Amino acid sequence: MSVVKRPSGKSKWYLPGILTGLSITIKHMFFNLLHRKDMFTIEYPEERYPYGDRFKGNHVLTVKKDGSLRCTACMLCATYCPAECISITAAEHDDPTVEKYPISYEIDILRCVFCGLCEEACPVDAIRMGPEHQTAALAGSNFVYDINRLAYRPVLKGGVLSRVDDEDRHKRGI
Amino acid sequence: MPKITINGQTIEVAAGTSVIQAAVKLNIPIAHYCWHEGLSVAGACRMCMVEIEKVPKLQIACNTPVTDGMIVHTDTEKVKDAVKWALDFHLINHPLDCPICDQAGECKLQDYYMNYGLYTPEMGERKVKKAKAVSLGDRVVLDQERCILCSRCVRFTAEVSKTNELGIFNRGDRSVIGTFENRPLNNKYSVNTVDICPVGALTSKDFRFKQRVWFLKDFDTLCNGCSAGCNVVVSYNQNGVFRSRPRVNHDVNGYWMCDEGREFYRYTNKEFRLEQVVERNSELGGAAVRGKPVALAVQEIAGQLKNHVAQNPDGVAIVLTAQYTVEEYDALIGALTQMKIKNFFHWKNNEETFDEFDGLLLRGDKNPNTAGLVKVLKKYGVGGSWKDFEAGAKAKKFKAALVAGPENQSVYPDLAKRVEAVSQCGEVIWLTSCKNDLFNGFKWQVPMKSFIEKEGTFVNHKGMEQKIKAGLKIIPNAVSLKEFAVGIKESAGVAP
Amino acid sequence: MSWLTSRYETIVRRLENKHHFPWILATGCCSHELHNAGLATYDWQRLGVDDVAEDPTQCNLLILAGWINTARADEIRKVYEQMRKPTSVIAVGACMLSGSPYDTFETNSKVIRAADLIPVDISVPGCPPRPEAILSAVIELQKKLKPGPTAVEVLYEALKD
Repeated sequence: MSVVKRPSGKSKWYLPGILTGLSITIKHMFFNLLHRKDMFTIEYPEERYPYGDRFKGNHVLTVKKDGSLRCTACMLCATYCPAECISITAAEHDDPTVEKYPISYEIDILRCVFCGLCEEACPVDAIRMGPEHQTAALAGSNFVYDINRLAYRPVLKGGVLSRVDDEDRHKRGI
Repeated sequence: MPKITINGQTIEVAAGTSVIQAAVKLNIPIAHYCWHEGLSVAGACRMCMVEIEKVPKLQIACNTPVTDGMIVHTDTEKVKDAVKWALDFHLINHPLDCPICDQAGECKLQDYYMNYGLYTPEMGERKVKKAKAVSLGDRVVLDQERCILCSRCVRFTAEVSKTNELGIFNRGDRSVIGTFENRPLNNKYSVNTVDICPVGALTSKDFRFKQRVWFLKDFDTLCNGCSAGCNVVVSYNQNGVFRSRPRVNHDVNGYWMCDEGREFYRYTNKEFRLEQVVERNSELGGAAVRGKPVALAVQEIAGQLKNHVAQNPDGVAIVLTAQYTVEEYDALIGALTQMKIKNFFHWKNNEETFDEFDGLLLRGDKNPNTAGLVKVLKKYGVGGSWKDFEAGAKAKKFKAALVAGPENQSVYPDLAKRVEAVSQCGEVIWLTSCKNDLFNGFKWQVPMKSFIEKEGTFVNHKGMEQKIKAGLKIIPNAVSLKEFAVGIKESAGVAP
Repeated sequence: MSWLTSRYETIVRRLENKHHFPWILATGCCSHELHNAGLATYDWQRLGVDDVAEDPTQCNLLILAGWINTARADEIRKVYEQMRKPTSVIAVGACMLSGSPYDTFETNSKVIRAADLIPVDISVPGCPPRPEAILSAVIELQKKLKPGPTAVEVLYEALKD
């Protein structure tokens, strides 16, 4: 005794089912041909998706008013990073009000998980997660981003100003 | 012997002990900045406030001697409030320097703030600005704003090093630590002030900005700079070794360490080390062959030594410096005497100044194990001086020489001359942990382990035996003298 | 006759540059972004990644997304060797490219990198990368696979001046 339900009635004729499906697809096709502006496909690379303000993309190292790096090499971001992708070497600055600055700040972008913990940890708003999405590249190219690329790449137009400024706080007496 | 009860725990102490010393004996923490066991009492910071029964106001624990039947509380609300306010007063002019200060992670201000503070600061006035990054001498940098004026450094230069270079200038909240004109802080123990400073006011130029403290691991060992054998704590991580600081040991070095001994950690790092076996191959016209596996090299060396001994046992000379451990000397001399080698020479680098002592810690003998080497040489009944070796080498008596070279080459100032004398022997096997171009003329150079990679015993000038243990591995190819000796014994086929 | 077949090669090569037959191996969070890159909002069919086949022997673009561990290594190697040559490989995601964040100094994880198994052509960093980043990877791949000029074009350039 077979309990398999065989198609019966209208669906026994497979062709009507196929034709209804095809008609839906062809309806969509003609709609898209005539109303190209209503299609919701974002045609990358010409169109872009508008990201929110807090989008976590490629890192940006902010700069002070005179163009030098805001980072004081405190290494809080390197400590907090769960992927251990930040390497910093600190050095002594000639100006005693600036004392410490990084001579090398490297992020291995293949290791980075874009979590934003470095931005959270930084006490001086030196690193931010920027608005550009991650870029693909050939497998052999350089994926360790140094200060030049993080702070001064052409898209940033000379550097993003940091919101925490030592001069203001010294003037206020803190 | 008065009895004191702190937080319910009673202890009997000697007369004249202060309350804070009794608390240290009971392992009860009391917040303090200016008190130090090795220095006199100042009572400047007012952090060690404790509540003593039958006394109306809180007293400082560092300057209150114990009386019989004293009952002390350190964890009441009154005490915690007092400590919090004392901390608040210390912090009102303290700069916002945690990101750039080296002391972050081991700073007493940070630690006590997390335990007692956690308040919102109500200070509305401007902070006093003072000089930053002032160089006090060759090794120490001062930041006058971070100083909390505990005066530990001033008392150190007055009582311990007795050089009186530091003082407190000006009054009130303009007080600063400083040196007098034309008298920089350049005594031989200056970096101890960096250790005892509870905040980041005094920093060491050598360690400044190299690493953050929480990336480093500590392990206990001995300094191998001189025959005093000071106990030290070495800080390291996977990138290398970064500093060594003194450990407390009342029999050997007390609480301090000299500045010279702080330099020797750097010779264990990769930049200075010999990383592979180097062999001068006569078949290839004297070119250097690097990278032979150490086991293979030891086998060949054993074979060559055996050949030399077979020809003439007196033609082989063994030169030893006193920078290795007792167990290593035992194994090496034992193995070689069994091979019928009798010419052992003790290379003393600066015999004239051996017995110098500067009154505090520095000894003239810059080797950590002279006494140990002398003992082992006596045990086997061998041993000659460098003069005998030089005479023999000049007379071309030695066809082969095995030299256990110094680890700290900076304390061997005439190294070039001695290397010249050694190269008069035929085939030279030089064992060293640090590389040097002077050795490139020798037949063999074998990499040795540094003092933090091996275990053993150092005997200091007093005859006290202290043990070191292996902390980390820096050069994977390096061997200790003991492993070298064991390898020679096995390859030469001598019965154990 | 050989002239005809050589022209056929040229034509096929020119067409192959912009048409890829994908074989998708996606695990974990990157699979969401990868499937989004294929669906309507970010359509990779516009760029030529089309005809998802039923078995790898008909495909020539291997897209690896998510994490892989030692247990999957054999399977991925076998799939790579079966695919139509020349195979292009796009590796997507931080796990695939470096094992991070599972592969730090203290952990003892079995997550491996794609580069240890097969030669990777394009890497897309991110955790997970945006679908636009995956589309930009396809564009980079097309730039890499662009064939050089034919003999006729070289002659034309030389004779132009």
